Amino acid sequence: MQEADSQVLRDCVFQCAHDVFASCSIPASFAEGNACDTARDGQVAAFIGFGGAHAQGMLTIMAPFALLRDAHPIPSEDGRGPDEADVLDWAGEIANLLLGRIRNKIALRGVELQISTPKSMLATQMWIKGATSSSICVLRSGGETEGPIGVWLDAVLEDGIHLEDFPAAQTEAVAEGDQLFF
Amino acid sequence: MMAKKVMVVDDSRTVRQQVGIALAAAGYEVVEAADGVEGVEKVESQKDLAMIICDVNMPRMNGLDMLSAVKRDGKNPNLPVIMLTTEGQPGLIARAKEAGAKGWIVKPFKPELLVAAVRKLVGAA
Repeated sequence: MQEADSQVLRDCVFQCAHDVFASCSIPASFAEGNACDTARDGQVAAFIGFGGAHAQGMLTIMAPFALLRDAHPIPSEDGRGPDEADVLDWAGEIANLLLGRIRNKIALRGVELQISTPKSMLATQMWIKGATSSSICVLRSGGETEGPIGVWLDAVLEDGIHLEDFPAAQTEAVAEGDQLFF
Repeated sequence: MMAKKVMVVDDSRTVRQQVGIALAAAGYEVVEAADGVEGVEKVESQKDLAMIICDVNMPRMNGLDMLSAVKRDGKNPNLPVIMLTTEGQPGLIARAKEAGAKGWIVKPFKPELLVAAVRKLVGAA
């Protein structure tokens, strides 16, 4: 992938990740480097793949279990909080929301992705190795539960596919929260 | 009078719960399905559904295929279906419209707007 394309993707991932985590009530700010390359316990990893004629790859999110548990949107009826399955499901949905937002943004640049369904898992001693600086975005949560959040977009563009600047007049067909009636 | 029944179809339990809480607070009865296959089965078993809210990307059977299956069997020609999804591509939206969907909502959704959309299509609970 050309450096210009990597930079466009990285900027897109950064912005989308910040916006999605904020919409999920997880305050997060950007952090330099890859703080996720150190093994940590109590992590959740969520994966969602994508493919199509233009690009293939996978989005991975790595985040502290406690962070996601505390930000789970469904109040528990018994006051005990969400269980492991609830947190894993929520992590998968966050990955879905994030890749969906990324997909809609880069569609404006002529690159279309077909996304799969998310999977998630609990992990002890988990870390992200091998991600280049252009493909991983690390955020630090600003809430009470601290810990790095890793967002790793591992993408391959097909030969001849580039993230062209979109025409100035072009806008998103639909945006998050939009409703259309037929 | 029985509350109107809405089915939410999504592979995420969290989303099903979010939709369910919003609609239940507005007085609707909610049933859930985790994918398109289960959704089609429940359309058959739940005879009095007023509406379906359906995700697009799901395992086993996606939402557009489920929509087509529900409309194809002819038993529920007027059952309104709204797609609730991260997808925003014009081609997919056109496919849904052609297949008989009544609306398209892009996630994440605001609960009050979702309830308003349901009221718009099926009336108050």
